[in-house]
Amino acid sequence: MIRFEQVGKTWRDGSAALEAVDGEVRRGEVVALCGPSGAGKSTLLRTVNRLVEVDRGRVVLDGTDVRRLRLDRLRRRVGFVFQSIDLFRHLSAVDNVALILRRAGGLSRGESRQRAELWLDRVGMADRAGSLPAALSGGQQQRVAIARAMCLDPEVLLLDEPTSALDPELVTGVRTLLRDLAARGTTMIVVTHEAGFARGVADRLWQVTNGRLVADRPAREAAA
Amino acid sequence: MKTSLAIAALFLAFLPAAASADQLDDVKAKGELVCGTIGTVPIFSFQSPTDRQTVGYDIDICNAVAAQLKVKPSLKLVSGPARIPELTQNRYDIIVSTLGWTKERAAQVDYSDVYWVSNQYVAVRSDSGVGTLAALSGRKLSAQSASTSALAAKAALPDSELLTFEDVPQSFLAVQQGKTVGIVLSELMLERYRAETAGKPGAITILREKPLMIEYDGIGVRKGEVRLLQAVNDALHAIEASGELDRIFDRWLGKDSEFKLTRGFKVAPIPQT
Amino acid sequence: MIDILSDHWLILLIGQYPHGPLGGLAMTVIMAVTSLALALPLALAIAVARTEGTPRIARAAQIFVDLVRAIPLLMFVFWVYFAAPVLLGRPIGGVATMIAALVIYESSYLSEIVRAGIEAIPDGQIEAARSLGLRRWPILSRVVLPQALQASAPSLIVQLNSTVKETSLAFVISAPELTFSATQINAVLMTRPLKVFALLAAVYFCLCGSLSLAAGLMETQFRRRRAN
Ligand SMILES: Nc1ncnc2c1ncn2[C@@H]1O[C@H](COP(=O)(O)OP(=O)(O)O)[C@@H](O)[C@H]1O
Ligand SMILES: [Mg+2]
Repeated sequence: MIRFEQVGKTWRDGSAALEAVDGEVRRGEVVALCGPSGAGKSTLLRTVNRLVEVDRGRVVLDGTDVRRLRLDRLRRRVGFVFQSIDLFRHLSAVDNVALILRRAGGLSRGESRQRAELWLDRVGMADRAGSLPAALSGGQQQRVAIARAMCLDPEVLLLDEPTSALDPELVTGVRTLLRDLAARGTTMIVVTHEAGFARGVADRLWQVTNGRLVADRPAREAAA
Repeated sequence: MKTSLAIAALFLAFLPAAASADQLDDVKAKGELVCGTIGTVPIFSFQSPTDRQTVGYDIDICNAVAAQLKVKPSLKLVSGPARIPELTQNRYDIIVSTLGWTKERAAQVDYSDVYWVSNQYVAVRSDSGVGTLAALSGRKLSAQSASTSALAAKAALPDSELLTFEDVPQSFLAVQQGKTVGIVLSELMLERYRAETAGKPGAITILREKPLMIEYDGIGVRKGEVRLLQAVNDALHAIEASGELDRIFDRWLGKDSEFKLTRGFKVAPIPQT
Repeated sequence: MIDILSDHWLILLIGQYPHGPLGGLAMTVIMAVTSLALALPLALAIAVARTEGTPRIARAAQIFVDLVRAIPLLMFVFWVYFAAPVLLGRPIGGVATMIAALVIYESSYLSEIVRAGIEAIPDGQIEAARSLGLRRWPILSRVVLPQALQASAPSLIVQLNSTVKETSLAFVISAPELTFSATQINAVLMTRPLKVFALLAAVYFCLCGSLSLAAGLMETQFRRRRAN
C-alpha cells in the first residue's frame, strides 16, 4: 500500500530529518510510529501526502511514486489528522465535513450535507453537527477532524499524535473510534506515545530515532 | 489640507485645456448657457430657503446674459478653488461667481467687462481695541480661501497672519470666537455682518481708513474664446442699456434691498492693474 | 437649532433636488455605501495579491497601497477630478469622481485590514485545508477569506464611518452632499455657522451611529446563523 524506499530529507539549514528510511505498510494494516520527540515521525508522515517533499529515495502509494500524482488527487487518497486539531473555525462541525465533500470531492450541495451528517453520526457527533468548533471539547473536535479526513474514503489515514493535545478523560472516545476504524480494515499510520494504544490497535510498531527507522516489529511482540 | 488643495490647484493650472470647437457655437447648439457659481455666497449666489433654488445677483446676471444669447440658463455649483480649473476643462461655459480680477486669474481666464465693483475692507471685533490697519501687524486675520479677500490681505497686510476658511460664515465665526482679530471681506458683506451683530457681544467695526483693494468682478470665459467673450460683453452692455442691470442691481443691492446702494460703476473693461 | 432644522431639513436631506442635483444626506449615504461596496471586493483582491501572489504581484500591490496611502485624500480627489478627463478624453461628474476616488482610497485602506485578518489565520488552518485535497481557490474563498473577513468585521465597520465622513470632501469637486448643504444653509443664515455645524455634527453622529448599529446587527446575525 505505502512503501518508503531509502527516504531521506535534509532541511535547508543542513540538518537531516530522515535518513534512508525503508518500510512498507500493507493494505488494512495499522502501523504505530513511536520514537522520541524530534526523531522525524511527523516529517515521515508528511512525506506521504507531500506536505514535505523528499530529497532522496521515494514514497510509493499503491505502486505509484507520490511525486507523479496530482497533488489534490494524492491528498484525496490520503487522509490526514493533525495533533493540533485544525477544524475550520468559521464552520460548524457538519460544514467542516461538507466543505471537503463538496469542494474537494465535487459532490452536490445536498449530497455533501447528507454524507457529512452520515460521517458525523459514525464518529458519534451527530447531535453536535451544527456547533462551531469553539463550542466543542478537544475530543469532540478531533472526532470531527477524523470524520473530515475520512469522508472522501481515502485509501490510508495518517494521524499525527491524534490524542496528545487532549485531556486524559477525552482520549477514550477518540481511541475507541480509531479502534473501530482499524477493525473495519482502514489502513492507518498513527504517531503515538501511548504504549497501550500501540499494543491494542496497531499491527506493527515502527521505532524512529534520529531520522532512522531503527525497528519494525509486530505490535504483539513489542508488548511481550 | 489647505496646502494640499493649493498645491493641487497650482498643478492643475498647467493641465492642458480640453480642446473644443468654438464655445459660442457650442452654447448656441446646446441651447444652454451653463454658469459656474459657488452657491454659498450670500446675496450673490445662495439657496433661497423657501424653495431651495439657487438665487442672487450673480444668478440674475447669468439669466440675463443667457436671455441675450437666446439660450436657456443653467447653473452648476462649484467650489471656490475649483472654479477656474472646471472652466478650463470645459465643465461649464462661463464663471459668474464674484470672480474678482487678479493678475494670476487673468493669466488663466479671460475677463468680461466689469459687472460689480466691491471694496475689500478689514473689520475687527469692536471690543478688540484695534483701530488702525497698522495695529494689525503680527495679528491673525481670516478670509475665505482662494478668494479675492485672501489675496487682498496678503498683498496689503503682509505683516498679518492670514487664516483661510472654506466659506465666509466660517471666516466670520473665527473672528467671533477670537481665533482671528479681524476678517477681510467685501464692504457689502461686512455691512451686512455689522448690521446683524450690532449691539450684540460679537459686534464688529469696519476699519474704513482705506480699502485693502478695489475688486472688479467680471464674468470668466475660457482663454481664447474670443467670440463668446464678445457675446458676453455685448450682453452685459445690452442689459445695461435696457435698464435690466439696474433692476437686478436694485433688487439685490440697491433700493429694493437692505443695502440701498446706488450703482457707482459702468459696464466697462476692467482696469488691468 | 430646532428652527434651523425645521426651515432647512429638506436641503439637509436631499439637497436642491429637484431644482438641482440630488444632494444632502441622501447623497452622502449613496456615495459612502456605493464606494465601500465597490471597494471591498477590490480590497480583497489586493490583500490576496499581497499575501498569496507571486513576489512580483505582491510587490505591485504593495506599491499601490503605499502610494495611495501617501496622498492626502483631498488632493487625490481633486487630482482625479481634473486629471482623469485629460487621460480619458472626457469629463467625469463630481459624484462619479468622488466614488471612484473613494473606491481607490478605501480599497487600499481596507486591504490592509483584510491582510491583517489573513495573516492572523493560523498556519494549521491552511495546512489542514491542503491536506484534505482542497485546491488554491477553494482554500482562499472558503477557508481564508471568510475567516479574515470575520476577524476584520469590527475594523471594517470603523472604516464605514470614516468613509461617511470622507464624503464631505466631495463639495470641492461640485458634488453636493450633507456638508455642502450645511454650507449653503450657512450662506443664508450668515451669522450662525456654529449652530449649523453643531446640527451637521449631530446628523453625522446619528448617521454613523445607525450605520454602525446596522452593521453590528448584521454581523451578529451572521455569527448566529453560523453557530447553530
Ligand atoms: N519545516 C522544518 N524546517 C526545518 N526543520 C524542521 C522542520 N520541521 C521539522 N524540523 C526539524 O526536523 C526534526 C524532526 O521533526 P519532526 O518530524 O517534527 O519530529 P517528531 O514528529 O518526531 O517530533 C526536528 O529536529 C525538527 O526541529
Ligand atoms: Mg511530531
